[in-house]
Order: sequence, then structure tokens, then C-alpha cells
Amino acid sequence: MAGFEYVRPTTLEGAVAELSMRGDTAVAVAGATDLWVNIRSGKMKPEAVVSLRGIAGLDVLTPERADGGGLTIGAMTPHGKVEDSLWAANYLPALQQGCAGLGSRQVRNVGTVGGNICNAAPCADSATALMLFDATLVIQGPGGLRELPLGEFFVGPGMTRLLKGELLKEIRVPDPGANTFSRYIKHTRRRGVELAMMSVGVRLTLEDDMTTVKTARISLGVCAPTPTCATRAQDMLVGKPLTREAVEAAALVAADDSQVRDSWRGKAWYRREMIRVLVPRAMEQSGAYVAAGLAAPSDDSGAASTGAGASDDPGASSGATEGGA
Amino acid sequence: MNPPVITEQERVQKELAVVGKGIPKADAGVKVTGQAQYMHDLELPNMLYGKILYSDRASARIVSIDTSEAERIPGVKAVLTAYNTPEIRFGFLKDNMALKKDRVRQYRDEVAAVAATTPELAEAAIKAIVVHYEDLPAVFDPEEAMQEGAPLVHELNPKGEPNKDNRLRLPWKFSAGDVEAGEAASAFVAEGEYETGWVTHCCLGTAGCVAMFDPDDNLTMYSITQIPSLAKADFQEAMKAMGVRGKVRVVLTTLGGGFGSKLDTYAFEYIAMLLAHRTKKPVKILFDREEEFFATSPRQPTRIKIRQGCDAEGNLTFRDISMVLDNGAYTSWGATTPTVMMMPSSSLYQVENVRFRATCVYTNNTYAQAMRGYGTPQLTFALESNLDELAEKAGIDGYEFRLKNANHADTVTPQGFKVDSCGHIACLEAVAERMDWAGYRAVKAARLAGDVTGAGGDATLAAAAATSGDATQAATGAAGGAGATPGAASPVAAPVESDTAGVPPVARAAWTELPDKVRGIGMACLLHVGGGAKIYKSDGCGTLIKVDDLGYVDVYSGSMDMGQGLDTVLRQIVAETLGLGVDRINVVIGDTDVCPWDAGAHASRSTFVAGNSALYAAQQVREQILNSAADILDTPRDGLDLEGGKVVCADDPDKTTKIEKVLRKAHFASAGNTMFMAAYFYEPPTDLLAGDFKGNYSMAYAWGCHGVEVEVDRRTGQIDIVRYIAAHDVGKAINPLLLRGQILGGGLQGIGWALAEEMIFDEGKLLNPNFRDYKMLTALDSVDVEPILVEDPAAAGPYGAKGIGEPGLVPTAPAIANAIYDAVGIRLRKLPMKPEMVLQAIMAAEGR
Ligand SMILES: Cc1cc2nc3c(=O)[nH]c(=O)nc-3n(C[C@H](O)[C@H](O)[C@H](O)COP(=O)(O)OP(=O)(O)OC[C@H]3O[C@@H](n4cnc5c(N)ncnc54)[C@H](O)[C@@H]3O)c2cc1C
Repeated sequence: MAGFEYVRPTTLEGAVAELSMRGDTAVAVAGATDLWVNIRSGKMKPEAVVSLRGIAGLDVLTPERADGGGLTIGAMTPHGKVEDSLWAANYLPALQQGCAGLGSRQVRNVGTVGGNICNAAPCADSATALMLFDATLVIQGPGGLRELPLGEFFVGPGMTRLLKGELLKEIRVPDPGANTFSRYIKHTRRRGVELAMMSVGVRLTLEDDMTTVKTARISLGVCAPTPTCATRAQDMLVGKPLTREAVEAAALVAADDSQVRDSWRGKAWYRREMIRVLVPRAMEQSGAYVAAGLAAPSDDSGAASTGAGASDDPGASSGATEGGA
Repeated sequence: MNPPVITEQERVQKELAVVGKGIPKADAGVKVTGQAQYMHDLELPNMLYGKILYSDRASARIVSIDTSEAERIPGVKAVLTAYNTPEIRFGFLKDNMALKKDRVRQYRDEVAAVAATTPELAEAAIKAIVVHYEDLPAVFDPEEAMQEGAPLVHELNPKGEPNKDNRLRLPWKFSAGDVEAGEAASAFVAEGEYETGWVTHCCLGTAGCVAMFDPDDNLTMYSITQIPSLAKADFQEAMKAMGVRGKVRVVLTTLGGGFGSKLDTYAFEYIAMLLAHRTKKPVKILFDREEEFFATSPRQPTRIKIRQGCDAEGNLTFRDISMVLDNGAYTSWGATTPTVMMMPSSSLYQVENVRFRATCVYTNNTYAQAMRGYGTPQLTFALESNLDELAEKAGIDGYEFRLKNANHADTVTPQGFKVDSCGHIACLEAVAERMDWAGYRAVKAARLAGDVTGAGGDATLAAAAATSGDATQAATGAAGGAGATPGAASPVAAPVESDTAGVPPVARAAWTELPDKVRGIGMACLLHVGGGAKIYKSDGCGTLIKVDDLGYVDVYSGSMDMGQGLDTVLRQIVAETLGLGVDRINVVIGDTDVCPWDAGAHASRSTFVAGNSALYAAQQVREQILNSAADILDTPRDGLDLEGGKVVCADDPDKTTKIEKVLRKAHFASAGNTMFMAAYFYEPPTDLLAGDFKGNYSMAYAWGCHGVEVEVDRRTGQIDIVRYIAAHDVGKAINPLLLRGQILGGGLQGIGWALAEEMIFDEGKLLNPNFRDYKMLTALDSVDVEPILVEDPAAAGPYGAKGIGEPGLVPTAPAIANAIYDAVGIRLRKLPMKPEMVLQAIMAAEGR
């Protein structure tokens, strides 16, 4: 294992300058929970790593309002911070669940949301959950700041639209509006320290009639080369009354449209089937059915009245992980 | 010499002071605080780091090895291949070599090795070695490997004679009674084929050693072996092959996990010896996690065919078992697991007519070793799953069927086991009671009969509804056994929901009405050796005990501890016998220069064999102390006892004296000739397992029964264990705390094996050599295994104890498989029972 230089700038601009100057030989490091694995295995051989740890103001979680609204997440915010945020659990439950189900508590204490996005793994949990909320990335480059929708950020496994020297500064989640329900289900073989075999996120925002779907998002992990949204399935739901049948039909379309693959880690048919099964389950568990009067309130379907939908998952200790042994 | 016998009277005459108490492990403190010294912590002056170059293909001729660049790297002190070292052969059939010459037969073959001043340099040197190979045909399926014309994995046998085919010439055959007659007398027959794959021990401490020669060529091997005495013999033999005259000392560090993985010696140990001898420096080889996964030997995979029959009343009539074992490229203990699989095959439940045969076949896969249970978990998966199938055919509840055929005390089994103590029925009953087996069944039967108003969760209803015999057929293509009575009603799986049977899938709307999650219960039993196992000429263990004049006791045992708590158990046994507190007892293990001989920590034998050895040595010391005290205190020996750290004088309490006072008096007063010290070699008076494999080869037999309730997710195929009960006949719990730990650990390891763990190979190459992709269960997955201790004392056991190291794992998979069947009516015959497989079978059964 080769050694490398460790650089620790104190400003984002400084970090961008270090990276720009060094070109391909340097790489940014946040929590190093992805980077170190790649260096150890010999996949990456940087001559220098530029730490973002010394930069103030990147480890932040800033809600727009105490009782809802949007959220700004600093790129260096560790997942544990989102996991512990009552605000996130109340107003963006799927995001909280995505963060809480990642790795182990130790990994969540160091691994950052920014690192998860920039690493661009098809199974990235917080990135897949963030896809539900139309998040925007704020990117610092040598020439200043630019913004890019998260949905346009991923190019392929490990590949993003970040240009040389660019760093992710923060993630902005717009106010999803009232009557929003969300849920993230990570499908795994075991409950602890596990990458998703596939994952499903859903978000519904209902009109004030509490029946008509205003916005629908279905995000999928490990069902394509990057985290994706099932756009055709989402569109099927919008503007129509929420029904179980509609969701089942949308789930089928999401499954059909997916680009699931066969690998020894999971079979394509099984991943596809799980989209069919878990999209409706996630909808149910988001609390949307109860809100829309499709189901009676129960332990399983989450908090109905507040529209928060932080549901109580049997595997609560592992966040939203739906691992069966 | 016959072992001194503790009479029953002696055993019960006074209440036990230390034996039977849940004393924490002797090394709990150092382990919890990170102070235990593992191989990773061992550093010696001038030590070099060894590293191995493995083959990068499954079968090839070695055309050339160019080590010149590696040799030029400064800091590299030796680069070894088979071409510049003496040949060291090792393994059960001596078909393995420390470094491979001319040919590689599997991916884990050791082709070259280096020693360097740092691990990084060693790594760099390994990368600088260039090997040219010429690929040869390979075979990865044992049944294909048996075919005529299959590529030979070994052209020659170890004697240099040509091999005709890939089959190993091993005599694994057993038969008793008349299987054909048994079958003819059967009213019901069930048959099935079961498959288990590779799983590994997942020791958290990776394997390693440090080999060090002194100037006189004596070797000290710092080791993590489970068999110090036998490893010493192996290394001594290797010294001979190396032309080195010195003697061998094996010294253990803390293990970091055993589970059978260290029951045989490995090539890396011989390579460390070669490197150390060449460089005249201590050489450490420490596996990284990937090596731990691919270069240690996993559990023996099996393909087992089984047929069992019973008469109309449900009495077992015959059992016929045959299996093909993938031996991999070389032969270690995996190839000998059939000798242990014979045991439950012949003797679990009462069945007179038994046939067993196993064929081991060379392939270009990895080769297997011992792993907790030594074949019995694999065999029990087939046997206990198939038993449920038979019970269902006979229309008898699985629990009743087991009770009817269960083993009893004071019997001799068809294999010749003398069963004196037997807790089989007690374990069955304990599980049934704890699970309310009858109540669960009654609710389900009521629901099947259409009475849906009964108590019980909806899950139960769903489970009942989903259990359809026809669905099973569809799911698994289960072979109908000869003599099965069509339509035999079974309370377990009556096809009451007839609208779901035999109709086209579209009409099976009923399935979609079921809740997604349904529950079921299952059970499975086990039989394992509980009093040693005479698989070598000696199954013995030596102990030496000395007492100093401060009242501290040193116990030198040939046995070893790999985390199971042997040292703690020995402390308790010796403390009890000498009437001292455990804090006075120091157990010394893991150094062949100091400790007596022992056959190794395997076969759940240590508490029993090493325990007896320590007990009998302690009893001699006890006599020495009491005789000496009688002299000193001038009182008859018969009135004296050792208790609470004192020599207690029953007749004259004034004479009661602290033990150390008596010891000092004896030492100082009696002209220097008194030494409180005794040695004892306990050899269980059992029969050697050989020939027709009939005889009593253990001093006690351990029984058990596991009961489990599962919840099956019909839509995802995921299995959730709702309840897990493990009843074990332990003879006597010397340390209930450690014992529960063994049962819990065995249970969890077994649940992982049943549901999640698998080594995935692609043409001999391991794809998942890490904990990301090898699904060992985590703390979050752990199941609350509820142990039930059944104490049916073994007459020959130390304080009545039986071995319990392995049994906790043995019946896990079939208990779970039976519960899954109960829940959703699918019979899974292959491990692990992963969600895809479960879902596929459910979808087939439900016509989805
Ligand atoms: C044991 C273990 C379990 C894990 N389990 C999961 C899991 O369940 N789900 C999951 O999704 N992931 C998992 N991971 C992966 C990893 O923890 C996450 O992806 C984590 O979010 C990465 O964040 P980091 O801060 O450690 O990133 P780093 O490793 O520091 O960086 C990752 C990549 O992103 C780049 N980068 C980081 N920050 C920035 C930035 N601000 N701007 C530009 N580029 C940046 C780095 O250059 C690097 O290429 C696991 C990892 C481990 C070791």
C-alpha cells in the first residue's frame, strides 16, 4: 500500500485550489469510509488526499423552519447526525431512514452525506433517499459556485458530473410542502452492516383533499447503474386519487422500467420482484394510505395524523433496513 | 490403570461449592479490555514477515517461476518455491505439499513465499514474482468428477501409483440390520436429496504463526492450533523432511476463534518453518481477511440422499443414506466427516436397519476441514427434514413421531453405542412444552377445520391455510415415497383448502388474500458424542497438578482454550475437588514443553476428557493433602475433608486448619520430601472407530432438541426467527454461564449457516472473501436463543458432565426448514435458505 501526502486546507476555496493544482494525482477525502476501501484494495492510488475536515461550516444540518420547510445539509454532515435529527424524522422521514440504515453506527459517525453522493455507488442509501426530495447540489469550483439537481448528477457507477477540482459544498432540499409522506426501505440479506441488495424510496405529497396525488417520487437503489427515479411510474400517480390499485400498477411499471441486473449478489428477477413488492409497502408504511383513508391507523402504517409518517419499523434499531436473516 | 470412580454417594454427599456455578470466563477481563495477546500482537526481535503467492487459476501446469526481481528488492531475505526447498508433505492422506511443484490444483495453492523485513516489502516481493502457467482441464462438480474421462486432479496417489479416477479410496460404509427387509415392512417411505455448500468459521482473529529456530535447530512454533500435541508431531515430521534434527515446541497465543478451523495444520505453517530456517530469523505469517476466507479450510459440503420408512404406527423401519462429498484438491479432515455422520445416521432415533455410504471425490475446488459439528449438522439437516416428511406421510405430528422413535437410556444402538444416560425425550418434551406445541397445533387444526374464531394470531391462520400438500408438490417436485398411502390425513398439512389445489394459477385468488407474513413452527433433534470420540488410537489427555505451600495450585493440562472456556471449567473442577476457591487455581495450557499430551480440542471432548483427567489428578493431590494433614494434625484420615480452603476435621473442629498451613507444615517439617503433585492421563475406555465402524467410541452421548417459530414473508421470501428454543442434555452443567454461551453461539452460527452464509465460488475461485459479501450474521441479526439445560448425568463424566461445544449448532437448519414448511408448505432442501430460494418456491407453490 503506497503512502500519500495528506493535505488539510481550512477553506473550501483552498481545497479546490489544492485539488486543481494537483489534478488527477489528488483526491478529496471526507470520512474516508469509501475512499480508504478503494486505496487499500489498490483501486485508487492517489499521491495526495485533500481532507475537507479542516473546513468550517460543512458539517451542518439547517432546517428552514422548526416545523417543516426545506433543509440544507452540509456536505461533511455525517449520517449519524441526520439519523439523530428529530426534525428529519418528522419532516423528511425517508431521508432520516436512508441515513439511519447505512452501514453501522460507527460508519455513520464518520461517513458523510456528501461522500455518499460523490462516491456515486448504485446502492448509495442517503443519495437514493435524497432523490425523493428533488434535492439540489451546491458545487464549489475554481470559478465559484454552481447548482445542479441531484437527479442529473450521476453518470454511472462511481461517475458524476463533478469537474476537476470541484467539490460538493452542500445539498439543498426544497420544502416538500404539506401532506407529504415518505418512506425508505433498504432490502438486505442481514440487518447489520449491509449494503442494499436493492432499495426503494417513495414520497407522496397529497393535495389538500388528502386524496389527489400532487407529487409522487419513487427512487430505486441498485436497480440501475446509478440511483434513479422511476419517472413513468411516478407520472402515473400524479393528479389522480391515491388508491392501492394505482400504486400496484405504478410498482409494476417501476419494476418493468428498471435496469436490474443479474449478479451473484442478487438476481435480476428477484430485484424486479422486490420493486413490485416494496413500492406498495413503502407507500403503506409512509402513512399515506391512512391519511387518504385507504387504511385504518395501525402500528404498521406509521403516524397518520401529523402527516409526518415516521413509521415504526420492526427493525428500528437498524434504521430502515428490512433485512431478514 | 482404571480411572478412580467417584461414587454417586460421594457426588451427592455434599453440596457442590464451585461446580455448577456460572463463573465468568478466566480471560473475560483481558479480552474485554483488549489486553489478550493474539498472534497479531506477537513481535519478536529481528522478526521477518512472510507472505505467500497463491495460484491464480484452478488447474494448471507451472511452466516457470521467475523470482529474480523479488530477490533484488532490498529487505527481502528469502524467496522460496518448491524448486529450492525440500518437499514437505502433509494432510490426512499426505496428498498436500507446503509449496506446490509443477502443478496447481486449486486457487489456494501456494506457489512461492517470501520473507522480508516489513509486511509491505513482503507484499511487494510477492507481486514481483512472475509465474507462467499452462492451463489444464479442471473439474468443479463432484458428480462430474466421478464420471469416466473426467480430468484427474491427482494423476498419482501419494505413493506414486497412478490414480484411475478422482474417487478417494476411503472405507466410509456402515450397515446394520437388513434395509431391504425394513423397507418391505414399511407402510410409508419418504425420500429426498439435500445439499449443503461451503461455509467458513469466520474467526475474527485471522490465522497466523511465528516460526523460530534456535542455533541448535530447535523450533519454537507460536501457533493458534487447536491440537498442540498433534501439531507438534506434524511439525516434527516436517523437520525430518527438511533434514533438520532439532525438536519442536508449540506455544499458543490467544486464538481469536477456532470452531474446527485449526484442527489440522496448514501449508502456511510449514512455509513459515522453511522461511525461518532459511533466514535464521523468526518469521511471522499472518493472514489478511481475504486469505482467512480463501486459504483456510471451510465446512465440508455435502449432497445427501436419504430414504427412511416407518410402519403404519409410525415406528421407523429403515434408514438408507448415501452421499457424495466434494473433497476439493487435497485431503484434510473434511474427508473424514462421514465417520461422524454415521453416528446420527445409525443411532439418532431407534431404527434397526441402517445403511450408510459416502464417497469423497477430488475436484479443483478448495478443500474442507473440521467445523463445529464435524458433518453432523449437514447430516442432521437431511435426516431431520426427511423425518418430518415421513411423519407427514404417516399422518403423525412431527413431535409425536419423534417421541415415538426417540432414544432411551440403557440401550445399545445399531452402531454399538452404549447409551447409559439419555436426555432425548426430556429435551423433546421441554421444547414442546416451552413452545406450547400442542396448543399451537390445536389452533391451527381448528382453523383448518374452518373454525376461524379460535384464539391465535392471523399469522397462524395464514400459516394453516398456506400449508397444502399439493403446493408442496408443485414447489419441490417432492418424490412420492414408495408405500405412501394416498390421501393419508395429516394434522400437520391437511389439504383442506382444496380450492387452492390442482386448479390453474389464475383461480388461486385465495393466495392473495393471505397476509404477507405467515408463521409456522418446527423442531429437530440431535445426537453427538458427549464423552470424547476415539478417532485416534488415543483419545486421552494428561494433566499435571502441583500445589505450592501458599495454597496456590498450578494445573498443567494438555488441552487448550479457544474461547469455549476450558481453562475456566478446569479451574472449577480442580477447585471443587480440592475445596479451594477458583482464584487459587492457575491453569497452564498451550505449551508442549510444559503441558502433557492431549488429542486436541475437537469432538466436544475437552470438558469431558480434559475435565476427567484434571479431576483424577486432583483427587490424587487431595489424597496426598489429607494423608499429610492426618499426620500433622494427628487425627484419622477418615475424619478429614477439604472445604472452603480448609482441612476440616469433623470430629474435632478445633483441629480445622487452613490448607496452606498444613501444606507449609508438611513441606518444612518432613525433611523436605513432601511434594503435593500428581499427574494423570485419562484415556476413555472406548473402542477405536475403525473396521466395520461398530463399537462404543464415546463415553457419553449428548442429545438435544431445537424448536423454532418462524415468520415467512410470502412476498419477499425473508425468514424472521420469532422464537428459538434449544434444549440440550448436558449431563451436568459445570458452568451454566459458559454453557449457555456455547448453546447461544452454536445456535447463532447455525442460524447464519441455515439462512445466510455461503462461500460463493466461480469455477473454484472464491467471489466473496470478505464480510461485506459473506453474510455472517451481525449483532442486529442475533436471535434470542433460549437455552434449556437438561441434566441427565453421564456416569463417566466429570461431575456427570457431557460435552456441549458443538451440539448447539447441529439441528438449527432442519428445525428452521421444518418451521418454514409448516408456515408456507414449501420444503427447502438446499442451504442457505435465502430469500430468493424461498420466494421462488413460494411463487411456484402459489402458482404466481
Ligand atoms: C463498513 C461499511 C459499511 C458501509 N455501508 C454502507 C451502506 O449501507 N450504504 C451506503 O450507501 N454506503 C455504505 N458504505 C459506504 C460509505 O460509508 C458511504 O458511501 C459514505 O457516505 C461515504 O462518505 P465518506 O465521508 O466516508 O466519503 P469518502 O470515503 O471520504 O469519499 C468518498 C468519495 O467521495 C469524494 N468526496 C467526498 N466528499 C466530497 C465532497 N464534499 N466533494 C467532492 N467529492 C467528495 C471522495 O473524493 C471519494 O471519491 C459503507 C462503508 C463501510 C466501510
